[in-house]
Parts: sequence; structure tokens; C-alpha cells
Amino acid sequence: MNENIKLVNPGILIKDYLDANGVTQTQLAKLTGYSEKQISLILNDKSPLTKAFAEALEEELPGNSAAFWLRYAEKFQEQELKEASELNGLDYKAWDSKFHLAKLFKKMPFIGKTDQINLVKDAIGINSLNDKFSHRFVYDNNVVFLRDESKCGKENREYLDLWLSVAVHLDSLRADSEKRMFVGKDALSSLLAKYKPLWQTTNSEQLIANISYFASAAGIRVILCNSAPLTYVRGATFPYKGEICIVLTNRFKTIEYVVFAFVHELMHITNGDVSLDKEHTEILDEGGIGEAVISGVAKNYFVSPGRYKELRSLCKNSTLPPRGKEMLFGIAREEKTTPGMLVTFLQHDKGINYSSFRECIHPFYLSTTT
Amino acid sequence: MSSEKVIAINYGKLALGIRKRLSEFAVALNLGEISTNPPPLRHKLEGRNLWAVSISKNFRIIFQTGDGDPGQIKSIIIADVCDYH
Repeated sequence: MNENIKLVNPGILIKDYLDANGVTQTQLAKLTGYSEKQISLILNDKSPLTKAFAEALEEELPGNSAAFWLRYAEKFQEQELKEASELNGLDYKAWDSKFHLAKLFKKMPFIGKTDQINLVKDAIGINSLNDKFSHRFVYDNNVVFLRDESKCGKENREYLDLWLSVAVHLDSLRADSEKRMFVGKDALSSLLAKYKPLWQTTNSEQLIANISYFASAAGIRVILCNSAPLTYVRGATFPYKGEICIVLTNRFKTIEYVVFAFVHELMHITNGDVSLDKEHTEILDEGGIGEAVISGVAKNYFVSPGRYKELRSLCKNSTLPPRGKEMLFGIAREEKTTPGMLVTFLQHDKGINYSSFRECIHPFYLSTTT
Repeated sequence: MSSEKVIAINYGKLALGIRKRLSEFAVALNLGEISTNPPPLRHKLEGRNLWAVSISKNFRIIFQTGDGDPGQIKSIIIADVCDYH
């Protein structure tokens, strides 16, 4: 009925039907007389869907005729052939070797090869493989953005540059995307003070909602996306086309770390390290929240330095004695933050080890497609 | 830009479910070919010519058709993707 949609693989669709009707592959094998191996090959689109198999499906899954399944498989085949011939004309290999497409889109299987090329073209503004372009994001030489030395170097800088370009471009394609007008450093500081309770949540979805809320109040574009495959980069902050952008990825493992990282990046903005009239990109790397000064400022935002020092002095043998634990909860209440935040700081400062107070920190899940 | 990318960008987790249902619509000759059993679970809604198919436990695609028997309906208009609960 609708001709423009890209069909999902027949195998994926049939699996959906089997699951919904509670038919296992083993049962299907028994009922159809096919071996489990044959069934698995068909469901994984490695073998063509035969007439006999379609008839078996008609029998086992009432509501769909064999003709429907055969037509589906045929249309899918046509689509694949069409895509393959389009790709031949596009020279995917050359694009891939120049722009690391396979690596860049590793976690986005729903983006086909033709679209990968188009996305990169749009993101960096070129029309053909040989067009000249300049990298948009210039990394500060002092910023170490990868922990693994072997992964540093020119190739990775270009790759990360592309990754950021694509992340911003994809975000701008969202239906609800709108231009953000940054409120300014001073207004951002007062918003931070006003909205401190937003960071007390211990639920991933709520945290994402709170971050979005804060970002829209502050006029900042926050992009939540998959991390750049094969790198340790966790996030970045940069000015782009008149907007301040913060990219956060699913590389953060705990809610508290996301909060810390987000506030850390905001502090870079209030500090003037990243501003609309300065070409500069801050990269968050896997090694933790580096840059002691800004981390200190971010920490002071959550807990007053004096109180934290008291707590830190109680740490012994990489753990907190019972009295310290009491104090931990007391300070969290006083400072309108969570025990998890304090635990994260103590772990970060090596006052306690990462296995203690696990109950206070919460896992972070980012379900995203971009 | 292709449809699957637009769906993925705007619907996140629900994208694959939406694409499965839209794929069926694309291949079906008429509405009668969309199963009334799970997973599509096509069913009529109250209101003139409104129908729904499931994309997940809670989410449905709502669509509108012309008058007639499902076997005769050859085109639909997607009205909404929404949470029933």
C-alpha cells in the first residue's frame, strides 16, 4: 500500500511473528519437517524463503497467507538488488576508506550505506569524494581526549571530527529540533544555582528529561548519542553554528558520573573556556573527569569544600568507617545532593575504592539511536 | 533522506517496531492481509474508519481508511503513533 518504506528483513519480521504467537524455532522445525539449521538459515536471511516454508508459516501463523510471505520476500529481494546497484555507482569503498564510514556508523545499523554517504556529505558540506573541505572542530593540543596512546594521532582527530559533525547533524534532523539561544555565562550560573535539585534523581530517564529541561532553559543544545565506536571519548563541548553544544554518550556508566560530567562541562562554559566567539572544543575522555581545576569547581557546586574536606579526612584504608557513612548521608541532605554524588567524588579522589558504597550509585542507561 | 532514518531519529526505541508494521503495509495488497492476530493485532477503533496496529506492548499506530471491507481497502492514512496507557 505504501511504496516508500524500506522493508525490514523477512527473517526479522518472521521472528516477530513467531515470538508474538509463542512458536519456537524448534516447534516450527517439528511442524514443518525442516531441520532447525534450515529454519535458522531462513530466519537469518541466509537462505531464501521457499514456497513450502511460506505454506508452513500460513498454517502455523493464522492471519497471513503463504502468498503474503512470498510476496514479502520477493519485494525485499528487489529492494536489496536496487540498493546494491545504487551502491555500485557510489563507490562506497572509497568513501569508507576516506571517511571511516563503517566505523562511524557501526552502532547505527538502521542507516544504510547510501544514507551513510549522504549523511557525511551533508554533515561536512561536500558533494563529491574529491571536494575540498576543512575539519570543523579544532581540538586544543593540550586536551588529551584518548587514554590509549596508540589511538591518538591525526587519523583519530579527523575521525572524531567527523563523528561530532554527524552527531550534530543527526540531532538537527530531529522533528523537535530548534535553534538554541545561549542565555550567557552569568545567567547560566544563576540557573545552575536555581536548579541544583534537578541533579538529585537516581533514574536514567528522569535524568535525561532533567538535562533536557535545563538545556532548554539555558539555551544549550545537548546531544545524547552513542559514543564514537572504537574510541574512549565520552563527550564534548563546543560552539557550533551559533549554538553551544554538549555531546554526552552512553559511555558513562553511572547516573552520578553523567551529572558530574554535565556540570563539569557547564562549568567550562561559565568559565569562558567554551564560548560562542571562540573556536574551541572540549573533549571528555575515558580517563575520568580530568582537568583538576574545573572538576574542583564542579565539585564545589555540589558540596562546600570545607564539608567535603571533613568527609575526605575520615577515609581510611580506602573505605569510610560507620561514623563517616553517617556523615556522608548527613552532608548529602544538608547540601541538597545525593550520597551517590559524594561517593563518586570520594572514589574519584581515591579516598575510597570503587567497590565500596555501590548501593549509593546508580547505573546509567542511554537508549538512543543516534 | 530515506524513511527508515527519519523514523529512527524521531522514534528511537520504537523505530524497529514501526518499520515492521509499515513494511507489512507496503507489501500487503489490501488491509485484509494485515493480521488480526499478534503481532500486528489489527483492530477497529471507535470512531469512523479508525484502526490500530500494535508496535509494542503499549504503543499503537493509529490509521484511517476509506469505507468498506478490509479486503477492499487499498490505502491508509497514518494518523498517529501513541501510547494507549
